[in-house]
Amino acid sequence: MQQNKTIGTFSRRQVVAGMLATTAFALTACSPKGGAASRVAKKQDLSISIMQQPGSLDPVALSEGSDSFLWSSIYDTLLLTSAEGKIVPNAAKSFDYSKDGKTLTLTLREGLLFSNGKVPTSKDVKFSLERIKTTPGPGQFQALNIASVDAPDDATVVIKLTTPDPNLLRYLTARCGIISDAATARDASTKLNPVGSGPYTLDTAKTTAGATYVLKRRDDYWGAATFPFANVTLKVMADTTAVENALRSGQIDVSTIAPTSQESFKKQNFTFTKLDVTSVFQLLIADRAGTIQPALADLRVRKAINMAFDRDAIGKSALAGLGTPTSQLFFPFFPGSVKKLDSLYPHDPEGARKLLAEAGYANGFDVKMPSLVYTPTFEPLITQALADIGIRVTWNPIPPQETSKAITSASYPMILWVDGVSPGATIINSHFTPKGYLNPFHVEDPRLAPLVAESAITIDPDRQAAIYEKINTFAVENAWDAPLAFNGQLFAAAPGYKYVGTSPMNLSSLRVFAVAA
Amino acid sequence: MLSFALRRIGVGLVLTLVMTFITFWLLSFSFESIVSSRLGQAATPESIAAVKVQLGFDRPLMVQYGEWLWNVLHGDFGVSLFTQEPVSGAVFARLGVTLSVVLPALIISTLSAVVLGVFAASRAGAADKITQGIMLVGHFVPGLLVAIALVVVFAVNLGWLPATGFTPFSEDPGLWLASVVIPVTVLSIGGAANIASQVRGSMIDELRKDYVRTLRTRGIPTNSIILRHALRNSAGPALTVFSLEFLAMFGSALIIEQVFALPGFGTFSFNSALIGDIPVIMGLAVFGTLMTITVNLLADLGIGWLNPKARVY
Repeated sequence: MQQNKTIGTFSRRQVVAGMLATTAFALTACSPKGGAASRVAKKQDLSISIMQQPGSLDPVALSEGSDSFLWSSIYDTLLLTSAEGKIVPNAAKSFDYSKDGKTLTLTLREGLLFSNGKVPTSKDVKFSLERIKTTPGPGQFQALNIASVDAPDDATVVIKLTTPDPNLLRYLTARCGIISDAATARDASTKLNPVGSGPYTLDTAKTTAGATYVLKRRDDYWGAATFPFANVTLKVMADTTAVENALRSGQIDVSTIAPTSQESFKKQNFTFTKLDVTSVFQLLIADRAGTIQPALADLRVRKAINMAFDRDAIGKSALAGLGTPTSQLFFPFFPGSVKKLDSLYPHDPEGARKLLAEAGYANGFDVKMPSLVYTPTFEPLITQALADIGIRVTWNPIPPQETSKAITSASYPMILWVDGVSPGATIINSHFTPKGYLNPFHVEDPRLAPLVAESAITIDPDRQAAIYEKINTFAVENAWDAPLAFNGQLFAAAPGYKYVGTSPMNLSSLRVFAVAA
Repeated sequence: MLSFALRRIGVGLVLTLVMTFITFWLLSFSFESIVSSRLGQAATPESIAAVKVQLGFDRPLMVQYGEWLWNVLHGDFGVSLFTQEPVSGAVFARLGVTLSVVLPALIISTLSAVVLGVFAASRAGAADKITQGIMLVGHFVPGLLVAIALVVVFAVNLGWLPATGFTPFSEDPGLWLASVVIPVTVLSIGGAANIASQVRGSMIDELRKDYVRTLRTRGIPTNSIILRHALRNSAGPALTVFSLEFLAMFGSALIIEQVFALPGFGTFSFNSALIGDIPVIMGLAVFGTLMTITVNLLADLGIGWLNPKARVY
């Protein structure tokens, strides 16, 4: 029958031929993008992925994390965290503290140049520091202790502090240390395409907001030789599968990968770098004074919680082999870390149950915890480990934009939390000071308070390390929290590229990428 | 028809107004949390209060909404709280990406659905069963799985297509085609199965009607009966499913956009909701509502044009 052989006015053969032609066109239009071949040709270029669309580029509104890839390339900071994690000169060629630690003098290097051709001076630094101090924003706290900034000559900056600040040098390597052009910093364009004195400028013609950010190296940058890539493309990719597919197919050149994928990348001659410690995975025992869950005021209960977890298994399974067991919050490469504290609480559910019984909680107790955007993967593990010693957990779902409020609201006695790599002073400030972000119940202890107060004004490195160790030891021995494991990251670099970072303090900087020999 | 269209547009505008007010009212419960999240560890009661004043969140709700509405009526949707991008430009840019995937997927879905549906209804028997089997597979195979499989084969192993990303048509039509081939294929599979089931059912109903028997007795070729009469009359329900499918594809585009790192409407909406970017969420509410109203109106007009008996105007 006729209708069996035609579709509309076309014969079946015509339709099939048309479909084949269309397919052929589609395939020929899609030129091969094989990874290795195209990489050789673009060795001067680097493509990497970032997790989310960067926010405003105005220094007073900058976020840290993956946004730093973009802004740390456009702006120069006064000081720098080296690939090894040390604080070294950068736009300031030298820095010197007064004996009382209340005055910091910096000298700007010669050869600095804004992307608009103007030479940065100490007046720009003064303007930048005063602006971040007086503008409410995510970086304002970094300038909290700055009393005044003077610019006695074009190259000298004198920062006077209300009190010595052990964190200040670290802050000057980040957004607080950015030199803005005083003449243009308040312009609307600063938010999207600012004037900076950094190694790259944003190529707005090739940039697509929300998708691709293209950076072009400035040959007039004083340290251009340390940046091997003439063009750097940052591609926004939230999905880890998309990132690994992009890496395999040559769309990006270096990225973190899951350890389970390493074998498949080996076949494509990728090279690998593992950073053992980039964050610490922990259970905050926030209500350690027992305000809403009286049981947590008892040291035996807090110790029992610490003993409930098999930290080795967490490192191997939940953290995909990238976890290193620990019972302390202080990162191993920073002053304050005490090696023996890593293993203070071995996995001992039986012992934990005994401690709970001694404390009068033989039947356990109930506890409410916030289910945050990153916790669902780990919730069964936490629930099971605590259930084994009789503690019953209920998870309350929290919308992402409510995370900060949930933590600071003092509604949750325990919180599953991840601290990015931070020096001792930052850990102390957020966990152990009464106003600390991660101390929502404002718990103080007369044994700890003097140490915390002394640490806040001590800048002598040896004395500082000794105080930090005492604070750390007190916090672990008194089970103020239940740190579980340090988490690491595995980087894979395509042939022709290498990852040269050795410090987790530099995770979001282009300085960690290089051309392979 | 004109008065019907104008009436629907008027109702649509009122609906948009109501939708945006509800959205703004719901968001107002999170103003403090949004500011607090934005400040992160720097959030103190003082800094939160200062930023609330800076952003105007300390004013009465109706004043804030009224100001937003006034600005929108003057073509100003504001700027993103986080990226400082103008909202209208950002929404249109993302809309363009998603439409680049959804429209071709919808066209391919519809064409293949009509072919499958008509084939199944007119042949019946084994052909119908085989076609229904194909539709079932299309319904139940997860799009995400198909997406990953296609990427592994065509992007990673063969290197014919990019694994991720989007190239605008205006920049390079060839690369644009390459960047949408896999996402369009994935979206088309589920879409075709949904529409084909509807076309098949409607066609079976039509082919059983008396006028078809009359046409057959008058010697009209079967091909002509199916394509000129039955298909046209059965297009109404299919068009309704088509409009619903269009909106559903917009919803499911989020997953496709995540897997292929496409900077589209779905990802933009999702991320903006996550961080509480109020001006962007408000802009998305306006465009989303207007798009839904427009698609439904076009579907009603289309149904009436195809079948005057089904006109609702």
